[in-house]
Amino acid sequence: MQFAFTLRSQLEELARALDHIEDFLLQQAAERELASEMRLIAEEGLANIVRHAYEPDQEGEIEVVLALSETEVRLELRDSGRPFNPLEHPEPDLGAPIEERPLGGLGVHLIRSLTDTQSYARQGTVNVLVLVKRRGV
Amino acid sequence: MALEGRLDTDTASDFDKELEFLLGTAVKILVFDMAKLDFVSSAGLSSLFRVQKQMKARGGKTLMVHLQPQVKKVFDIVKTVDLETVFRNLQELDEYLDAIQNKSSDEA
Repeated sequence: MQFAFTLRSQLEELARALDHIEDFLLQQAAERELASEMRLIAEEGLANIVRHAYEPDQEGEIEVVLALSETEVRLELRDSGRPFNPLEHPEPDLGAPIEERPLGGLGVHLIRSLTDTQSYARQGTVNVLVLVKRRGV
Repeated sequence: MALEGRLDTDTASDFDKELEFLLGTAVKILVFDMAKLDFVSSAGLSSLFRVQKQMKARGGKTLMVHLQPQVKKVFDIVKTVDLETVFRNLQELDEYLDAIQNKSSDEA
């Protein structure tokens, strides 16, 4: 089953987009935990795009394609902003004591930890991020 | 302070504002009851982490109780939370508070 939609690249649009994703998965009888984790993965991916891909005054859109099979969930995020690969963001230093850890960088770490494969490609003027999470069934 | 629902990109700034108010007082120990917190994202973690940092800077403590399993999983992944500040229930928290009270009176 596949589900696709577009959102404007604004932080205010995130909540509704994430509701779409979570609701779709629950309607397809995905496990609550899986739907919740996909919501988190999508939030981290989308927030990154909203913050980095487009200029602040640029009207941009993000396309979301969500595919669910018996074995996996596949989330594809496409935007036409500047070339930007969120996966290249450096990993946070998790061993450092609180005072030294920077506040950012956690989102990509969460994406990497909660998904099984991640890939980025620049296709013409489009950033394409594909995140796949295998299902435990 | 009891948290409820989601602490994410959408709700983190409201949370920050409430904490700003609280941190303006002389509070020394902040306890977050997470029993009704269903979801946390990096935005929420950043907010909690910022509070921890500010409390630590003033010699205070931040403690979290009743984390739901999926929320604890996210914390474990990012290891933002000092292990000593996460408790399963209020009894563990009481024991910890007793221990630090005793510690400070020993040192007095």
